[in-house]
Amino acid sequence: MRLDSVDARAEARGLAPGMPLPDARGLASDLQTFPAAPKAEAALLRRLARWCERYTPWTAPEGRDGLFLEITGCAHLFGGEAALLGDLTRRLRGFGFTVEAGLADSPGAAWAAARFGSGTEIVAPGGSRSFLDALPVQALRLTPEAAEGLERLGLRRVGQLHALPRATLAARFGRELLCRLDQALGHEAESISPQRPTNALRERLEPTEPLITPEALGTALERLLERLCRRLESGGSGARRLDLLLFRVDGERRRLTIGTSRPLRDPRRLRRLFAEPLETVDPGFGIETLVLEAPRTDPLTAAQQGLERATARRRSDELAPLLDRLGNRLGFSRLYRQAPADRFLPERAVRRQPPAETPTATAEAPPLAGRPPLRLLRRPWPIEAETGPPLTPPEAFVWRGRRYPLSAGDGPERILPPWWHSPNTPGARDYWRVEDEAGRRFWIYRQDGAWYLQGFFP
Amino acid sequence: MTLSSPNPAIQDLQRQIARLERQGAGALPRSSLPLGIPRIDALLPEGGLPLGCLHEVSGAAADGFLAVIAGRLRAPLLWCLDEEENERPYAPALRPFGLAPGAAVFACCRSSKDLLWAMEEGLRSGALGLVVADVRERIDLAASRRLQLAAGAGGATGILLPRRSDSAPLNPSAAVTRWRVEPAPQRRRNRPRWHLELLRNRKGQHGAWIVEWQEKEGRLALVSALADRPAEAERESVPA
Repeated sequence: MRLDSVDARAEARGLAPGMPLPDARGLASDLQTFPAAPKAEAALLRRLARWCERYTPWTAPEGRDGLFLEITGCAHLFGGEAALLGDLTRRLRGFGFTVEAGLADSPGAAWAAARFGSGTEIVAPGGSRSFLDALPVQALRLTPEAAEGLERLGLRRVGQLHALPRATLAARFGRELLCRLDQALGHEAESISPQRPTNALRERLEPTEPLITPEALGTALERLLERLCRRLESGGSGARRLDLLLFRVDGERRRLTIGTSRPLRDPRRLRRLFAEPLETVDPGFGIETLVLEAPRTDPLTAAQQGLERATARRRSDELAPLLDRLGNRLGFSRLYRQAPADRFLPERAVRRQPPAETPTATAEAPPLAGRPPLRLLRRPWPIEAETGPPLTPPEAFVWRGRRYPLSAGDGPERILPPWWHSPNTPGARDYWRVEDEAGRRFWIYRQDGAWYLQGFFP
Repeated sequence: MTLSSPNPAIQDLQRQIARLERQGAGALPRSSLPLGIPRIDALLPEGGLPLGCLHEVSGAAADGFLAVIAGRLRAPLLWCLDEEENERPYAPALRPFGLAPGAAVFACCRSSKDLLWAMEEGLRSGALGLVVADVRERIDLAASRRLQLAAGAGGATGILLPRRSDSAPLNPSAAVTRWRVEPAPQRRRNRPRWHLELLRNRKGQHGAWIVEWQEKEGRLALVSALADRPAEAERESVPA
């Protein structure tokens, strides 16, 4: 067993990661050990990365103990780079973490600044090279073998590498060394993949005092919505989904998501959709930052007044707020109209259509000669039928343990499943409308010798 | 409304109750939907099925009666379904009743709580004419009263369809009318017949009939007043 990581005090006593446990105990007999939990650590790192979204939408975990924050264009919101870095480290230390931060032009240089700098190192723009030159080669994010190889040749500092021909370096140490060097100097682009797709439509609010009351939260949300809706309007779009991120003083983060059935940019209506999820928020000791994002938008042009179908539009306008409310609680996929589909099998003859779309108006006749039943079973149910002579309806059938003696029947009507889709398509269905002695009317069919119940007529 | 009590004090109380009920249901003017059968409409307050309030239709052929109402109303319809319900409404079947299949919005609810909430939202929104709910569980009086108030506030008509196998009526309930519709043997093709019973009518009398849906004419027709069935206490023509 080996040490996986050590804290500052253990390090001071001469312990280091990778050291066998007996050796470590020899150095420090009062050593406290805990089993390493890499999965939990990784999860914590991801959570921290999400927490850092308060500074920039572009955050990603790096390695097993690092975070990358792409803060281009974000620093001024916090009063400059130094202030941002100070705020970040202060808060993270407040949570009990040991933090080393660095800021530079490229991810590679920032990595070196964090790990080999002063703790809140800010490398001036264009100063990456002079900063890196003085650092050990490990600052280039090399594999241990590569770093060891360099050291064996006496190449201890990054600056020494510049003196050597690139071809020689590449031949000896592989392409990776040059790549890392170029990345650190910003000659080669390196992308940070954010945890989530970043979004330009994002509004942030940092109240002077942490918000505790629901009313204050509501007011803050209204301000955010107004700002976001103004931007949506200038972009000619409307929100289909909105995420509200609430950052609590104690580092907890809540995400509230709402959806809309149609693109929407009316702050008041959006506010109403947030009403219900907002009730579930526990502000704890207060909410210090709110971020509102529109991850999904659709084009929304200014409402055009048409002469024809004005009533239809007005009606669907009235319906939209209701659909939004229902959809947010029940799920938008659970809200549908049944639109006719060009299929023969009754269960496929309708498809679910989002209710906000105008109902498909079709003049086509229903595919069945007679009338379809008002209720269909979700899937046809096998029944046992007592059949009479061919081409007559069954005399009775048993469904769920109950026998239904039949008095009348109408049929058969033949429907062919789509045999052109696959060679294993089941055979034709011969449908019967049958009536039992009490007058109940059923829709049953026979397929490949077996009988099924599919629906009920009123 | 039928005021049959000779006692003026009771008449006065009945008038007060009616006024209170009307307040509870909002200030919207009430209207009604005639079913097209004079003998039944005459029993109903204001000559038809009162709109903007809650009704209950049970029985094995409840869907048919509902489709007749929806077809006559020709208003946007929200149908709240229970996810567990195996027997789902099939919108193309509404067309013969005069309702475009696309006019109905279905909301599939995961719980009875969601179902009642969705129905209440739909009734209150004012954007719908009719809100239907497949009810699988018992609804208490308070919940049905909420629905009744929501219907009054939004001016929409709510119809509860109890889907339990015994199709027992929900009891107690704030529904203004309660119907039971059982199938009756049909004489001609595509002319379904039903035993229609008016079990509860807060503002009038009860009754039982055999009716026939005549698709070609697009109307519900009276076949016979049901005289050959024993009258139970509840079915007798007494003021509610």
